[in-house]
Amino acid sequence: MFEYIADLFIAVLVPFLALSAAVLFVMLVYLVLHRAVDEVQFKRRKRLTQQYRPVVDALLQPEHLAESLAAIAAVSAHHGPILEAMLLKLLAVSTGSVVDRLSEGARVAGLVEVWIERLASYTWWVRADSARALGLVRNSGALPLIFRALDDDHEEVRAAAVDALGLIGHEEAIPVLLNRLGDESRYQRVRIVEALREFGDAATPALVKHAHDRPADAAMVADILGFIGGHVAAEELKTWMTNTDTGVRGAALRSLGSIGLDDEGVTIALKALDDHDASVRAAAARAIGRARRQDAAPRLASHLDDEWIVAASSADALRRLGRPGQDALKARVDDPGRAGDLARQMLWERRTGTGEV
Amino acid sequence: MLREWTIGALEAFNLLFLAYFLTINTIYLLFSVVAYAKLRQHRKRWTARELEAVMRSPATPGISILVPAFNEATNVAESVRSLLFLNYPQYEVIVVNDGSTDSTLEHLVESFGLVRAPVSYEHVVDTMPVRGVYWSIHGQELTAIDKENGGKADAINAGLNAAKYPLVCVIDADSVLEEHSLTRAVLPFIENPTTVAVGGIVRVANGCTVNRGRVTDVGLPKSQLARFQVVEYLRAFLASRVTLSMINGLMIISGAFGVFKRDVVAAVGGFRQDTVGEDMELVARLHRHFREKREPYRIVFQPDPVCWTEAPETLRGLARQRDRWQRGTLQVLSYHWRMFFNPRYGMLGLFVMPYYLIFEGIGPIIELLGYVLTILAVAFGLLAWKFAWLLFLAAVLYGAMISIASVILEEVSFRRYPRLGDILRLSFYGFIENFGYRQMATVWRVRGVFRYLGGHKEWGQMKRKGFETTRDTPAR
Repeated sequence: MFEYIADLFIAVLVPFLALSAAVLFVMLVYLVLHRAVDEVQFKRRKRLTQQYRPVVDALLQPEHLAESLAAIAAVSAHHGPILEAMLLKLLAVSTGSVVDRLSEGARVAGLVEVWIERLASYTWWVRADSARALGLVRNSGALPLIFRALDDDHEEVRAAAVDALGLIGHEEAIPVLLNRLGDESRYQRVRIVEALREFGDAATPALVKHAHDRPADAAMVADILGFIGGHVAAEELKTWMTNTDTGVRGAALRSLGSIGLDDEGVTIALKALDDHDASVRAAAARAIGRARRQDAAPRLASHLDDEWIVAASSADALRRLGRPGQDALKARVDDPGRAGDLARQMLWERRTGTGEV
Repeated sequence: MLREWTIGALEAFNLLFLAYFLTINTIYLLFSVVAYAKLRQHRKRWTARELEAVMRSPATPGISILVPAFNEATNVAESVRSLLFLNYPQYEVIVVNDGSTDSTLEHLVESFGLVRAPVSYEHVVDTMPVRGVYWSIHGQELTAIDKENGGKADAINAGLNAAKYPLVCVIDADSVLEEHSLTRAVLPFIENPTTVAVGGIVRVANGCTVNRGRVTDVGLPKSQLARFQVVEYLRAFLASRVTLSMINGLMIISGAFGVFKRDVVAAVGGFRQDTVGEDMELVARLHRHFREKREPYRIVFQPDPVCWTEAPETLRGLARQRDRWQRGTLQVLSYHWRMFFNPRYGMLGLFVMPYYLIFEGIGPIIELLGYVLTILAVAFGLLAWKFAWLLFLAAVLYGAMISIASVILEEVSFRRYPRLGDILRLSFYGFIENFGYRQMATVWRVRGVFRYLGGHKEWGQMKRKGFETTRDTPAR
């Protein structure tokens, strides 16, 4: 009987497995062919890239500009995407006059018109790539269209538009970007700050004006000034230390710490150590620590019994001050409370980190 | 007469083994077909627009990422740094140093400017004593908890106590999450408020390029052993878990990456510490808890939030891992034996638990007996060749087809391996997996069964070498 069952199994199993294997085989062949087609296209792109490499490289040399532009103008429209990819790759890492020559190449190849047209594409990534490309060629003529892309439904398109505005660097874009600072997601805000960083200190007056016009954004603006600002921003931030909003004072101190404290800044930070708000005192301690002002060690040491965030920030600052800071910490090592805990931790960290106490 | 009886018994046994292999492979085939439809539906449902909405919504729940760390000094800073750069609107990272004997805590403190803080919070789950809590003075996104050694589950529970957000994400210290993994993992919680837990897919990081805590290039491992595991992971996650999730019968959320409602995990007592399968055990307990209270709930597998983890590349490491998984499975099944064939637990009691018992719990013993008895019986002339042929068809060839089907499932759904050669290699390894590797894994699992019966409950030594080299990873 068992042999009969086995025969039955074989009779059913063999055709079933054969059929299943055939289906799987067909699917696998289809998928492999699909992949193979993709790879063939990839290799074709690679071959064409090698073919056009000398033409595009010539754009990098001013003496060969005319010949290169003529060669680019003669490139078949079918090969436009290859040229586009090569130019964008170079534009992404180029600065100065090279950007102008590469942008001219893109214009001669008819790519700028293509990108402007694609800003209305149904596909979001095409819109995003086009906005970014217009930014890379610093096309200020496309500013109105890129402003419109800031209101796109898709976050990536909006982000690409922000990047483009930063790259184009036209002063008209600064208030437009600032007006979106308060409304966008954190992800977008980071992109906006990155774009503003492209403007450098030139964006400081507009940022300051924005903070005056919209006091609710002042703390955020203070933080941004810390990222993008230089001397001009530092001078402005010092004046914000009298602001009644503790958030603004704290942010101003954080930013001053990032930019770097001069003597006046240190005086302001030392004064802020007596602020009634703990977050401001903590920011002041951190700013002094970053400035490595050794003469501030006694003042910082006096805050080791303060609220935790202030005490921890002061201890961390003392750790950065070299010998005077270590001496101040050693003097508190045997304290039974928080100051002792923090002092011991900072000295222990120092021992594990550098092998010295 | 005795010979005839013996032959009759062997033939009967052989047919039973045959039925076993046919059943398990047919179940996997069905899983693959159902998963194919589900994965296509999933890709249409969750578009980039949906993800964007989650990112922007003020209602998106905050997540506390819990990272238990034991002797992870080599890679803890890099792992934590990558977690701090995830794209999610509101989250914190809590690293729990579980009494490490190396400099894990010191690395954390130095890398992130942590300072011991006077923190108190409600201890909803009992744990080993906490020696200190460390905060960054630059922000509240990172907390380190230093506690006495109590095992992985105890470390997760300590993190659970300190978590401030309604969702907790449990990951291994040596795993790498993709940038949008949290966003994708949180979608089922937003879509259906009865969701209590979500598991993501765990992929093998061996062969991939990991740069600053990000997988920047996906490739196949160089190690043949790891390649077999890639196929295994695809089969387990894409076919099995997708389908079981559809019937709310998911039994495992990988310890390498799972998101849970904090209050629910606390309500059932946190992660259990006396098992090596604490991830599976918690999921079983959650099922049991809600079924017994007759409250609606969902435990979901999301196939696209990816967690990359390194698979063992040595026979010794792999054997130890499989031994541990087998013991964990048996422990969990024994803890929850009341659920078997109990209609009160629905599909879980009537299908999923028996499935796990037969095919995962005692399956290795049945498989090994099937191979050994058939080969010996044919060799000694007690069984006709057609029985061996049948076993070869049902176990090896059918199994090979299932493995190839899971590779196809990957290719038509997520297509994470960019090179054509990788897919061809994976298909090849899927085919030959059933000619030796599977049988080897069966032997390790049988060892796990015996060690479970012997009362072994230890995790075993695990070596961590950093992302560039091989490590053992408990990516159940």
